[in-house]
This record gives sequence, structure tokens and C-alpha cells, in this order.
Amino acid sequence: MKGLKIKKLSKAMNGLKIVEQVTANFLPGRITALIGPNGAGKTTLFHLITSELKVDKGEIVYGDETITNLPPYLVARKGVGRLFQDIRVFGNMTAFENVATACYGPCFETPWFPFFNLKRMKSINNDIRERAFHWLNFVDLAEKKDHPAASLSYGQQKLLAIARLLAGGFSLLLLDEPTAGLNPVMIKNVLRLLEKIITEDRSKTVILVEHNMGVVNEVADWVYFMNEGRIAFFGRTDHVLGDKEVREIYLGL
Amino acid sequence: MILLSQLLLNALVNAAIFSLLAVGFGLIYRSMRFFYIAYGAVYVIASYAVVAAMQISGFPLYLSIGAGVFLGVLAGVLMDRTVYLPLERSGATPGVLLIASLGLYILAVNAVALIFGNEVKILSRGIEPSFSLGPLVITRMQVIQFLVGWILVTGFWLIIRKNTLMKGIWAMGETPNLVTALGLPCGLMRLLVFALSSVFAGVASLVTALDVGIDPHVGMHALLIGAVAVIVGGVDVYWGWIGGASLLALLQGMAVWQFSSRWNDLITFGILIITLLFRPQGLFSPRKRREER
Repeated sequence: MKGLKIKKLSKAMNGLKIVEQVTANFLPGRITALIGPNGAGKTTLFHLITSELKVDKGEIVYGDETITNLPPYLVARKGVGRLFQDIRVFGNMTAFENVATACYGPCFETPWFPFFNLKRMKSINNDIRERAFHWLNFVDLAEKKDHPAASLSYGQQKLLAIARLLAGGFSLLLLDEPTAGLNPVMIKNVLRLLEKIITEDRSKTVILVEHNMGVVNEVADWVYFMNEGRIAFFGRTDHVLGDKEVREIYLGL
Repeated sequence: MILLSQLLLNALVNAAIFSLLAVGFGLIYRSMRFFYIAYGAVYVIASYAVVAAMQISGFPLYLSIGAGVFLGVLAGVLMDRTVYLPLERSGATPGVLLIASLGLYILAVNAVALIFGNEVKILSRGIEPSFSLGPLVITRMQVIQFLVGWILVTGFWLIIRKNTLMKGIWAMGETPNLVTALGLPCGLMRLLVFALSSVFAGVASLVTALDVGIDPHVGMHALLIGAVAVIVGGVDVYWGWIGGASLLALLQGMAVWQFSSRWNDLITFGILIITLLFRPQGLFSPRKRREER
């Protein structure tokens, strides 16, 4: 059971403190929401966890390993997967190939591995195919498997990105606004999916950045409220959403 | 009729060399989306390495060829590690990479010219033995060019066709950040792409240089052939690159037939401009939906 611990994390860019002294604990088997106004540093925090940005100060520990400032692909290999805010799919590749890409990791131990281990590659490729189909089915995109990803609708691309994340077998899921831009039915699907993920595999840790309070209320067990780069408030979902300060700063109530 | 057939035969040989150039350029362009001008430098360095090995160190031919390809690969990989990769890590735009690449090209060509002089270096002396196919004539070197080119290009396709690694590499061209977020090592993949690309540039350079010699300034010509073939054929289709290269070779052959070989560059750019105007995704790419562009 791996959890994510963030200790006194700070990041400044161009003299501006974007994330400051953030300490947080994300437990496995639980969906933790990260909420706050635009520019509060939520997405930056994700960038720091995945090493897309370098950490200035502080420490990030996943399980019992420190992953601060590791190269991004190694962070991913430790099990940290991310769904981007602007959905990113490989537009020229088919839906199937998009999902399969997430399973390639083990083939890349050396650059020549796939060229010289033809026998093992065969079984690895079969395994990849099975996994990719399984997760495409999981998000109901099986019939779109041969369509180029760019030809799918916005919501379908989002589901595709989620399928890719799940196929990658990541144990820590950083979801940046998974429901933004989706229609209500799609949102329900995504929420059901999230609950399914967490109930089927209690070792997974899910962190959710979300502006839709209905979504937060429905799936999140725990909430961190960020404001101006700091964790301003945290606790059980109903507790945080009921707080006077949170309601004033963020919800405008 | 005989002249036309002879020109077609020559075009087929040229198409093999052009295809090598296109695959080398296309590998980089498709997986990194930047215009790799220093490709021309790799082309020049490979052949001059052979010149140095043969004429200065007195290596036998086959050893020199190995040394040439090896040094070409080394040059390509070093350029990436010392210039492009650091630039990209610091967030350089494709424009900056293009200028840096142009700088590297000029640097390399001038260094080669300083050391070896500007004149054409001949690698093989004497008259090439030739074979006749009915009324048509083909030299031994042309046979070698034809075989080496087509075997490499086809063989490489057979290897990468279903290769997982190459799929990761093509994905890298679309969204590099995403590829690392999925746990694929971009650095390693770049290394491989630059090495492979340099092999193709080096081999194309050597089979040409062994035929007609080499001077320091042919790199730009090689780069343009490779780049135009890839863009005309379609960046995301391997056989499109080969198709583009073959089309260029064929049209250049026709130009020789109707006008003179001095028209070749005009043909190259003419076809580039016409393609960009009427089919910007390339002749052999599937048409895209409007919202995908």
C-alpha cells in the first residue's frame, strides 16, 4: 500500500511564489480532491509531483521512495500516472494504439531490447494487446479502436486518456479536471468509473483537481483547499465544503 | 525510347539513394518535429571520414566505410547531446532549434573545408566496370547503390513495421511530454533516432561519394532531397517518404531527358510548392478531417 507524502514543497517562477510550503498526505484507497480558485497552484503541484517542473525546496515521497526531481519518465515508472487538463491524445494514432502506448514501458529497458528479444516481445505484445482491449472496453470505446484519436469527440478523447492511464497500471492517479467539458451523462460515466477504480483496487491512490463541487461532493473522501500557493484548509469533504472561509473565497456564497 | 529507358533505369537507382536520404531525415522529422539542417553535416562528415581513413591513414576500403558510418553516427548523436537536447530542455522553440541546426551545419562544413580543401575528393579511381542489359548500361557502382538503397529501406521497414519501440518513437513526435508521462524514456529514444538517422545519411553519402566523389558543400543538396521527399510524401507515412523520394528521382530524370540536369533544383522545389499548395498533408497521407488540422 503506497501513499503519497508531500513535505514542505515550494516552487517559485520569475520571483512569484506559486507553491509555498505545501505539506499534504494522500492515502491509498481514497479519492482526495484538491480544490481552490484559479491560479492557486493546483496544476503546478501536479507538475511538481510528476517532475515536469523542478522542485525548489521540499520533498515528495511515494510509498517509501523519494521521487523529488527524478526524470519524468522514472516518476511514471514508479507508478505515478497523470490525466492532463487539456486532454492529450496522440491524434494520428488509433484509439487502440493510444492505449497500448501506456503499456510499452517495460520494453524500453535498453534501446535495442525490442530488436533483439523477438521471442519475449511476442508475448509482451500479446499481453499489451489484451490489456489495451480490456481498458478500451472498460470505457466503452471498443468499437472505436481503429479510429484515429483526433477523430473522436472531446468527451471520447477524455475517456480514451483515462483508459490509457488505467492501462498503464499506475497506482497513483493525478486527475486534472477529469469532468471539465463533459456532458452530464459523460460526467456520470466518469464518476462511476472513478468509484469502480477505487473499489476494485484499494491500493490505488486518486488525487482529483476539480472545480465542479457536485463531483467533489459525490466522490471525494477528503479535500485539500489551496489558495495562493498554500494549503489553506483540509479535512473531510462535507467539513471543508461547509467551512465559512472556503465558501466565501471560493464558492462565493 | 532507349534514352528514356536508360533515364528510367538511372531514376530507379537515384530513387534508392533519395529514399535513404528521406528515411534518415524522416526519422528525425516525424519523431521530433524539427527541421534537422545539420543532417547535411552528418552526410558530409561520413564521407570525409572515409577520405581521412583511406587517404591519410591508409585503411583498406571496407574498414574505411565502417569508420565513415561510425563517425557519422557519432557526429549525429553528439550534435543532439551537446546542442539540441540541452536547448530543448531549456524550453527552446522549434525556430531556435532550426537556427542552431543551421549553425551546426555551417560550422561542420567549414571545418571540413578548412581541413580537406574545397575541391572534390575522389574516392575510387579508374573506370567503373559496367554491365549491359540489352541496349541499357548500368555501372557496378549503380548496381551497388540500387541494392544497398532498396535493401536497407525495405529491411528497415520490415524491422520497424510492428515494433513497439518505433510506435513509442512516433508518439514522441506528437506530444513528447505525454510520452514521458507514460514512462517512456525520451532521451533513449532520441539517441536511437539520431543514430539510425545518421546511419542512413552516412550510407547514402558513401555510396554516392564512391561513385562521383565528395566536396564539402553537397550536404545541403542531400538535406533538401531528404526533406522535400518527406514533406511531399507525407510525414506520417513511411512509404510516403519513399514515394516522395522516388517521385523526385523520376521527375529529375525526366528533366534531364527534356531539358538539362541544371533544372533539377527547380523540379525539387517546384514539386514541394505544388504539394504544399494543393495537398499539404503530403501525397501519400490519408486526408484529414477539418477539425484535425
